[in-house]
Amino acid sequence: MPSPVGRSVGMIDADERVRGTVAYALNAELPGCLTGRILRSPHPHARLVRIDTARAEQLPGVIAILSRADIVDNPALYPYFGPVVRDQPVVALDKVRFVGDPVAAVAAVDDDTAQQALELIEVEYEPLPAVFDPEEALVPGAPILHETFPPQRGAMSADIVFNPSEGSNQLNHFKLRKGDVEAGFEQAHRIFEHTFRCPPVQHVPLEPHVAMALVEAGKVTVWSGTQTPHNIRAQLAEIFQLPLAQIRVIVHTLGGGYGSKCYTKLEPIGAVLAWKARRPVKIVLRREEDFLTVTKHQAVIHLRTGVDRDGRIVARKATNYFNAGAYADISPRLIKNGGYATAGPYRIPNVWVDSYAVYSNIVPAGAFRGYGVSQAAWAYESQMDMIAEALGYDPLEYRQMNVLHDGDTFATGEQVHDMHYRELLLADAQKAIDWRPGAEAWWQRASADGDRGAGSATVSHKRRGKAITCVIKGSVTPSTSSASCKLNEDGSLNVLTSSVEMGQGAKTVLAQLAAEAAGIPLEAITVSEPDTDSTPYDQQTSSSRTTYSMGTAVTLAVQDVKRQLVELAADQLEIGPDDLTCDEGTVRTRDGSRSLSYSDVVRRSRRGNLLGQGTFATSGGLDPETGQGIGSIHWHHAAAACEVEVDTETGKIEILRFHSSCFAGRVVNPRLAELQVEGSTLFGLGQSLFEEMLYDGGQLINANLSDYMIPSFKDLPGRLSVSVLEHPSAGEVHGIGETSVPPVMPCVANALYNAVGVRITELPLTPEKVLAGLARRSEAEA
Amino acid sequence: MRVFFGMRDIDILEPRSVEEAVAALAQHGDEAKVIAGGTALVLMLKNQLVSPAYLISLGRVPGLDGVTYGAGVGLRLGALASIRQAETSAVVRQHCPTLAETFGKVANVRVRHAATVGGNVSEADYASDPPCVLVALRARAVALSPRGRREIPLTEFFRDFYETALAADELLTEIVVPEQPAGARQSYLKFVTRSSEDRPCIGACAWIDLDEAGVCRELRVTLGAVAGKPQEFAEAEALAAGQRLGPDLIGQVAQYYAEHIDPLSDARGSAWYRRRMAAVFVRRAIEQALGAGGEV
Repeated sequence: MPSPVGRSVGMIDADERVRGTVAYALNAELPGCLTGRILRSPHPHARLVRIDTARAEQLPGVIAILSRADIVDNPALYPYFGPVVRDQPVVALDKVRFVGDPVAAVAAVDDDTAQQALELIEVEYEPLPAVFDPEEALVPGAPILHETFPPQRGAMSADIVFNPSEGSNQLNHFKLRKGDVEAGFEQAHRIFEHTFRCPPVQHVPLEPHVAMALVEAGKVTVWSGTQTPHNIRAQLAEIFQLPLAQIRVIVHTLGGGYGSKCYTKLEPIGAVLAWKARRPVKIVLRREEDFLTVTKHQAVIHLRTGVDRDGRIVARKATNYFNAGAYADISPRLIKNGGYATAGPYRIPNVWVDSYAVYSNIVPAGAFRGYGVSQAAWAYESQMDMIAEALGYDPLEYRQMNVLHDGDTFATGEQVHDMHYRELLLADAQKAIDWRPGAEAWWQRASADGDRGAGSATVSHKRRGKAITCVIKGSVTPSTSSASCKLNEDGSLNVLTSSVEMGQGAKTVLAQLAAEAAGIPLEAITVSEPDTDSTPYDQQTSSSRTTYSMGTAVTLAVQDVKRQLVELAADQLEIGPDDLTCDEGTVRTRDGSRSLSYSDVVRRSRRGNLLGQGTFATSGGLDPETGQGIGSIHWHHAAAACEVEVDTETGKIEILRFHSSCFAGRVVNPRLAELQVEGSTLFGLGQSLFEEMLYDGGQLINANLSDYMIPSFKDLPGRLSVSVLEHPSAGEVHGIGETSVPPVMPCVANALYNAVGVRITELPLTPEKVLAGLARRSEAEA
Repeated sequence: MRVFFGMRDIDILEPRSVEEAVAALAQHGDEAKVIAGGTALVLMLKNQLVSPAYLISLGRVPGLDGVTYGAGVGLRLGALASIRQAETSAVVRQHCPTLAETFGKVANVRVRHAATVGGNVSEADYASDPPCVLVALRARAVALSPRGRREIPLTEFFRDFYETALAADELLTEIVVPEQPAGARQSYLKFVTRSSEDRPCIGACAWIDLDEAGVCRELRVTLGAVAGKPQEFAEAEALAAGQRLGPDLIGQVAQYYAEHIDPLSDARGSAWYRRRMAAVFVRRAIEQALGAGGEV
């Protein structure tokens, strides 16, 4: 039977998607369900003096109001959550720490009543000084968000080293020490120092955050739009002090995630409100509340890079400040990935990275497609072109000269394999935009076109420029996925998995891998939605890990079933198991003389079904003091290439063509893989050109889709192409869900530079910044 | 019908005729808002920027959605015609293609199907495309109240951010775009600094009436999205009267606009940036209008 793996089969839920019948959590209903609404802080930082809910409670139709009064000194509840450090209260206890911090919640018979009740809750605040910038937040004397951490429960993930500095806003510090960086700088011929900045941006999934909860008979059930059902289960078990088995998290297909739905968000407040109301409660966030829930990290990166006489990078020191916002969320891990990533995909013998997660009084930052690598790549890929210019190299050749080869040592001290930058990724990128080495960079073209003056009447005011960038990205390591499957007596197969379908095609590729492993048609496979009562443990649907990690677990589970099939068939056929093979839904003797269908074997066995299970756990981890070790089970890599046209009168950048190259090892579904890379590219273009959350004194001022822009289809490049590259030597599947986001932003910035000679070090690349740069250029020339 | 929205109870009135609508507005005046497509007003209600006790819905009022042309009168755009209708109307495309294109630049096609011409004009959003073009075309708004019918030139209609010359009891029923002179040609440039579906950072309309010899009889230039209402400077326009519009003269007009506007700052661009863009887009709009006319 031809394997469905490697074929562009359509999404197995395509029909439901087109018909609009996908059962999103947004549409989930329970009899007697109440509407939950959240009262949020108007202050960026304040002491909570008094909350009076008496008037709101008297409003007809209000069933329950949750405030700190229900939680403080209540031995039945542990009031904090957070995937690493439990620092976020279910509702504010003593302080509020950002504009939007939940202070109370109302469960009422309908939305109107709930909203009216919010207005009747009286809250008295004592405003405190606030701090918003990560570097200012570390200055001694800055207002402190978390004076101490609450008593901790539970465990944190194995890969996380936690170095907080209590009594300061330093939430975590990741250290990487490879080689002797000072000696490296001493031997350097030239040293380059620059600072790069990125703003917070929002994920904007079409479906907002949703949670519906029911607490009865000592059991907590939550329907949630989450990417991490098992993390939600563990956190709710801590809050309610119940065994994991008494917590049930059910996840429907998500209307988009992009990292925003990783880890506990709405579930604690929803479940505790349902506990108080003794009825089911559903909370659906409004768009402006989604903006107040989680963001990409604002970041400041100071990058110091030393090169020798031949242009080889010999030392790099990076100091990264990631603005975690008011609560830790996953920042303690993200700064690790965003830390080691700052070395880029380059052979650098001496690397020193200090990567900090810093609390401040803005919306908490968390996982965001690209996961810290976008901020790092924005810095190092911008700087690569700056160094190439200073040394007179072609930017592509300069990358080829420094890029990692198979067997080289990465910044984490580990040997890297399956590196295909030179012959695959960069070559593909070069071809896609017809990059001519020695002729594309600004400094190489300056003499060629003498007409650089900005928009005189005789010269066109449009300028074109190209760029090529490349990045390296890890996947969370160590990590664990497990799956089980049921081979039914008609030969069909249920795959039970806690991987979350969020539009990326998880169900489809897992079905393809299961079909290949089982040797049965794709149509015979059904992939479950996560339900922690029945689907096995999975760490998370993020970090581009599902196809690889869960795909491997599913394959192992199917192999487990096949082993049983062969053993049972051997008994039934009275032949040794070694003389049997399984394929095309049939167990056959090797000589082909006798066979039983899977269905026959199961029926004859009288087992009802055959149960298989598979667990895939990777190992690795980094030393807490040096950041040396195994950072990623394997390394994801991508390149980007683009050509832009810049209007020198307005500063506006038009993307004429954009090409993304992503290494996939072995492709399971070519079309779905291409769509992931296309989506990543467009995601990056929005961040390149205009996406930015704007704050005024801690108040988010563009928390809606009129004032916060995401790309529309009209913003697609003139030509958009992608390559999902395989290599015969690569047996493994590489995740491709987000690898193509980080190279986009520096690619556009470098192409802008190559068009008009304007270097911008702070995203986004707005027309105004470009025009200001052009004005500075012409002043400098005059 | 009573709904709870934007933190208050709102009575929704659904008049069945223009007369009933005018009467309802006269009765509730300051406490009422008129709603048609709702694309702007619903957001304002949600964000509690307006808080009316009554919404007078025009959804069931017949006869206000026509888009017609009459010789000697010009184009008549009913207040309830959708933006999309105005954009795709054969008579608008024939008699004023620039206006049709301008309607086509509003938001996205989904919004344009719901939003109405009258709603767009009476909202008086500073960052909207049609107002600045309608001002340049010297369109008039027709308003009805128990006191009678009056026509308000759009040059006087827009007062400031979200402020118009409509009295509390006046209902906007129609926009009349007068017949344009045979030698007139127009252009409208919408410049966005963020997503393609964003509102304009600046919008520039040039209206030029040329004689047979290519000499300018009259120039009008209006700028949208730079201040509380469309900006037009007669002194600059007067420079062009009786002149050929060459690069120097166009540059002078553009410079005048750039120097005399008092631009605002918002997320789409600072005042510094808008002033520079005024110079660029006044020039480009004039050049484009000249090009649109063919010979010069």
